[in-house]
Amino acid sequence: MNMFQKFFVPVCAFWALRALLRTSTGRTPRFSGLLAILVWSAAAVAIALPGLSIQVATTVGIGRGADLVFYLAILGGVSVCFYFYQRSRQMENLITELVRREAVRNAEFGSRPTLRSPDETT
Amino acid sequence: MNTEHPVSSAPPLPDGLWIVIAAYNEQQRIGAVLDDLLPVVKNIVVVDDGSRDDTGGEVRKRPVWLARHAVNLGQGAALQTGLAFALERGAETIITFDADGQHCTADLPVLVDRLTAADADFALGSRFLGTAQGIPWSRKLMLRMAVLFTRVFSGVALTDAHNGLRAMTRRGAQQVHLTMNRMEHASEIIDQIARSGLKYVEVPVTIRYSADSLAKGQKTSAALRLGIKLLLEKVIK
Repeated sequence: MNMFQKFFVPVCAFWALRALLRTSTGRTPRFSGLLAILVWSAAAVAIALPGLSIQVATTVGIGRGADLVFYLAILGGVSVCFYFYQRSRQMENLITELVRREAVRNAEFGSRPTLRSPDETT
Repeated sequence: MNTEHPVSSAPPLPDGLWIVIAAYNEQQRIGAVLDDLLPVVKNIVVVDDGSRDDTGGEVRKRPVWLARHAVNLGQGAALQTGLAFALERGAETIITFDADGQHCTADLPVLVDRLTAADADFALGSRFLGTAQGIPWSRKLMLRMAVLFTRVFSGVALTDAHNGLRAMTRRGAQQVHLTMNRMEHASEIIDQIARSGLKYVEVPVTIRYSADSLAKGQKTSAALRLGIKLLLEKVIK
């Protein structure tokens, strides 16, 4: 095991173990927790056994293990972007709804009187 | 203000008609727009979209409703607030109208008449069937691209896809739920009209461009960003 492996395998294992503990105690939602365990475990295995990623890459027809990791990282990055975009849209919609309700509830009628009161017009 | 279209010749508008105006930093223009509208329309709601100037103060001087967003959300959000308010007050017909004086009061009866005559739920104003006074070529090009975009991605063939002057029946307005807060709402509303299956017609209207309205209106440079956001929204949904 080289220096890089000696440092990063325990780091990944730590995060995988932490995700496992948080998921089992219910502090992290099950789906997010399982995803985190999977990602950190896969990272630990890929660093500890570099031959394995080459083997998988060859099996799926990519060729180089580094390319496989690169493609997976891009896919993961894009997925994360979509996820956060969706979350921010949800948040924006909630804020909009809140502001809208307040605006409608506190709507006021202008000072100059009309021939009919506004309630009679509808 | 409305020199080309004398209001006096226009037929009376129905009592159940509401005008919805989204206004942001329109202190200089909103007064004139409301003074032009008030002789012909009884029910007006202005949604002050968190203006930094005294737009609200100008509106309060007149017998119209003012709903105020605590923060600036965008024209789409303000229009949806106005629609919700008008529907809550029992509106039978709703017309969305710009706050910057681009629209003509004389077009209101034309929109309402077409809505009734065609038995439609939406009457969409078109400056390319009517008149676009002082429109710069860059704006014309951008609007033509928006028409193409709408045709390709929404499957709706319109001559003017981003015109803020629209009339809708109560039933039509109940089908509109704008979730895109900023200028993308103009495309979103077309999508929702198409999805609703309700009938829509295009009506020739007049749009008057001025240095003020061009400075404040939708920037040509923002068109690409708007297109990307709309495509992203379609992918996410």
